[in-house]
Amino acid sequence: MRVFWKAIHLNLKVFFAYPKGFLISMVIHPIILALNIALFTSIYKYNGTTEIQGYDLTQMIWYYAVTTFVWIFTFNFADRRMSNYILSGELGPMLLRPISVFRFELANAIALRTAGVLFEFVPDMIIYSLIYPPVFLTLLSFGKFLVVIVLAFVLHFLLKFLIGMCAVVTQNNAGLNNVLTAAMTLLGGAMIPLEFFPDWLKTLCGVLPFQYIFYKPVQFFLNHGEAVSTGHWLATIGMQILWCGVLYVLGRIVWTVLTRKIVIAGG
Amino acid sequence: MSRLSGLLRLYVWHMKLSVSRAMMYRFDFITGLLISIAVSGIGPFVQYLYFTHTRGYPGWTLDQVLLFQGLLLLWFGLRDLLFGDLRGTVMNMVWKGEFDRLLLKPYPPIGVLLCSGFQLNGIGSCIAGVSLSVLAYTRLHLDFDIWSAPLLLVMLVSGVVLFMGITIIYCAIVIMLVQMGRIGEMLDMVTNFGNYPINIYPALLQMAMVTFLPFAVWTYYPAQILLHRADGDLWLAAACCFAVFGLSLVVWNRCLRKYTSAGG
Repeated sequence: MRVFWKAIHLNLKVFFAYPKGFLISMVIHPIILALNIALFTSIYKYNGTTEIQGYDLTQMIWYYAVTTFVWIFTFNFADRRMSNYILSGELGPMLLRPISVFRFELANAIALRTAGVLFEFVPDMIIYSLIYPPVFLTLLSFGKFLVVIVLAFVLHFLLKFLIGMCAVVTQNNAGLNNVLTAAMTLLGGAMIPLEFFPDWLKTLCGVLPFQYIFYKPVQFFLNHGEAVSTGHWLATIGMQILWCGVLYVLGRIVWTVLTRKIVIAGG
Repeated sequence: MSRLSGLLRLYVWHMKLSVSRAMMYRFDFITGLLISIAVSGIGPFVQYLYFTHTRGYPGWTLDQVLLFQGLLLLWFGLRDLLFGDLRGTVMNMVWKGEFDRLLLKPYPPIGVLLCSGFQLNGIGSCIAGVSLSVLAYTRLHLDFDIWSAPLLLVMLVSGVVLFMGITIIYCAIVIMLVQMGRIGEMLDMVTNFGNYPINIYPALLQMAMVTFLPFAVWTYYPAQILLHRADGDLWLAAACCFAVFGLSLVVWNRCLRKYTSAGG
């Protein structure tokens, strides 16, 4: 565990050495929010309605803002880093380290997101709330969101790590990563709320893990629909833990199989 | 002039290298190609969902929006084909301290960087974009006006010039900040507002999308040209693209003077 914390500390130091990148995001994010406000105000006005698929204007604007928050909380480069290790031949020395590749990558992702939450989410949340107050938000719904988003981070990381491991076979996993990103953003509800989907697609989303990364955390933040009930929150946490378990076991099996086939090249 | 022809030769050389690299990882390339064609369907599908659940956008029917989406995919494909690899390349170079090598080359560093962006994977989006555009165009029963061709060419050149300008600004930020975090993604989020017809925005924002951020040249004006409803503002937008490009070169040169090297 000490090595794990050291790895987080080491990665955090790298991010804190270059804080300007995070500071620029504090300028860009409000611009994106302002553009979203203009876009959705215009759409709602043209449609002559106060609600579209159960979302009022404030909720719809915040839907996309919270989607950005989900990216801030969960995004990681495990897939790309694994591919780079394979292509550059760095995987060899990494296998000899006193910490497993999985734990080192998890430490990197935690450090990356810790810096992201501190430098992006916290200021964004304050700035966004001042520009367009989230009248729907309660302390309880925010608390529910925080718990769900932590598990969403683990889920996102496990999926990315699985894709990362595929690089052992394909070397370059950019194509597979594109599939994962597309599936996550579409079927997870990051592109458009799942309420817009036909029933068959909603059913498909229900049996996939992607909605637990985007759609569900967003719902708890928005305090929307079923997300109001504590029972639904507990059920969501249960499903997230279940998916984390499934993906972790799958990852262990795949890693065990693939480490026998690893060919170290490059260097 | 000799510099420009030298840079073009360099670009062609990079293209060949990129194709060879793609063939080296054939499995990834072929899956990537199929995937990018499949993934390209997402944007039009989302628009379809939106149009079937709402009144859509003012002044746009579903077929017209599908034409817009087809042109958007085609633009994405061309953009990735020409410069798709550039961001990763510049980030790696600066992070590892390899960027300093470019300062010693006989060509301007930004020229060398722009020449290293070719990415064959963009072809998938191009195929999907052309297919969807042709389909939507046929469904709309439009007559092709001969004068549309040069106008479309002007929009294409302006669009590429604008994208080069934005990419140069991105490169300038990279050499200043070294660690980019999610800034690239955020820039994409801003440019993504060009993925909608600009007439759905308020008037002030519409003007901004023609002048200050002339994203309208990428898809909106090409779609309007094909739909025979382009206005004279497209010339203003085209001129602004070149202005953004000029400004980006000024920013780049200033940042380059302050560059202190990193990595190693």
